Amino acid sequence: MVLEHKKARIIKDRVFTIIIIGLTILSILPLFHITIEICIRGLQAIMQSKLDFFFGVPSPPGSSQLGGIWPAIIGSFVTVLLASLIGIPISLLTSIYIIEYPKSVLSKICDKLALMLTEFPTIIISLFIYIVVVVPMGTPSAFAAALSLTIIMIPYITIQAKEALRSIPFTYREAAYSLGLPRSKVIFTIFLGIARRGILTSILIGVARALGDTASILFTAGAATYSFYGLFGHAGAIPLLIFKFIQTSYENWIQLAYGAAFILTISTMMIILILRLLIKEVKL
Amino acid sequence: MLIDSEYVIETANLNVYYGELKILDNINIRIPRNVVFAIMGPSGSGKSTLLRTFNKLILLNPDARIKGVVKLFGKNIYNPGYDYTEISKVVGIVFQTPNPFPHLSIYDNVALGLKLNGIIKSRNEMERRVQEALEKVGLWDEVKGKLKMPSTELSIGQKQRLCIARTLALKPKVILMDEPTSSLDPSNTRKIEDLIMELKREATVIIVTHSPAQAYRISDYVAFLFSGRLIEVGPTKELFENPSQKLLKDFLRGGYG
Repeated sequence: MVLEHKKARIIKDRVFTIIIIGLTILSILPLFHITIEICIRGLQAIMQSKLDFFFGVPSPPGSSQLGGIWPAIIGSFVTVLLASLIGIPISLLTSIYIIEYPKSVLSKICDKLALMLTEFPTIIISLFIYIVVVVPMGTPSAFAAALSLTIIMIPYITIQAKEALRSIPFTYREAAYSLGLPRSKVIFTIFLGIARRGILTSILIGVARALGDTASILFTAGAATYSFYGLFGHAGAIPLLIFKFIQTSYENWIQLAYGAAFILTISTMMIILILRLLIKEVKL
Repeated sequence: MLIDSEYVIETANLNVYYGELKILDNINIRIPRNVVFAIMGPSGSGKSTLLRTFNKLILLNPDARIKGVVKLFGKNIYNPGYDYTEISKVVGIVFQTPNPFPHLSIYDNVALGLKLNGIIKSRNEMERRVQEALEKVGLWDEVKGKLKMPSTELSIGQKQRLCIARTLALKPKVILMDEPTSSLDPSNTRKIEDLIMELKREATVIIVTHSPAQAYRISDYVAFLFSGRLIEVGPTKELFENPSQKLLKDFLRGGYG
């Protein structure tokens, strides 16, 4: 009787374990599939075009040549760079404000707002910039796209940087003030120094997020295909190129889209990997 | 700013609240120059809070409120215009857990206050002051070859002595110590206690301790706190040999804390 009971328990345990393992595999299977598919088809495209893939423009639709995605690469680079230049200082100062003035109403609003913005549909952000920037300027542009990406980036960096600052033990705050340091120096030489890894991680997450976002620049960049027309002209971007080309029926453009997807995946992963290795954790 | 006052620190009707909770109840205390002054009492008696009112660190706690007067060399530090920079020229503090800045080197930890307050600009002078501070705490010989190493590489006893050096570099007239040996082993405790007795030649040391034995070993005066009230204060020998209050008698016998 007792033995049977034990047996039943073992069987139940086994079944449960198998179900859990099965579901886990099921949930990571798409991820594997996507990654492998992108790697194989993307590398094929890049191999075919070689260096021309990075420095050329797309060949005409239906051509046997692939060409390259240079306009999209430079467009992504410029918009993300500009977005970072605007977004990173705003985000860091906001996170410092939230931590340093926890009782102020503005700080509480910022805190909640940042959290809400991360959940916000990015297509609405695109629409917003379209109305306030693109319509008055009369044209979509790299500049408008950069503003969209800034809004995408800010909440991610703010929230992560705030958590990094919050995790600094109180005793360092006391020690810094007891040495007579003014508040600005306490923040910029002590807190940002102790939390440097967390802060840099927050910046990376924000940049990676902006690099891959498509919907937010859908109405604002202009999706230029063949050239980069400067800060205030139509601009392409890697995600936009994927979005546009994958829907066509031209084999060479579909291949370009896979190549671009591969570049996007790799560059996002590289940013995170390199900085993980470079920045040493501050041991407390 | 040094006014020729007989006492380094004087409090008058000092009350401290955290929100609605009263932590310190009407403290009146006077601390003379160049002595080791111990504040002892069981856990939760308000010792650390009292210590932090002497350099205003208490105000870093957003819930803390102060009523009453704390005079540093005759001037009320809670008057407006008295900021941390001003206080740090006279008062230094060492904390319970060693807390050298983990992202800075051993050298930079000691040099930081001098550098950022613009007290010393020349590099040679800075190196001399850093060495002097490290020598005082007996750390120089142990670290002179690795001044650029992160402070986290040190042992816990060395870290605490580094923290004392960081404070001494600013040449304070008053040194506050919040149970500085409570996380250290006996040999490191001994080193720091010896150091404290030496320091009183040039500064006043105010030390919080929960150990009557430590207070007896190193202090000239002792104050006994119990649940936020100052129960008894006086010269250490007298107080230990002849405690007048029952609470103190029980504490010395090991009844609390």
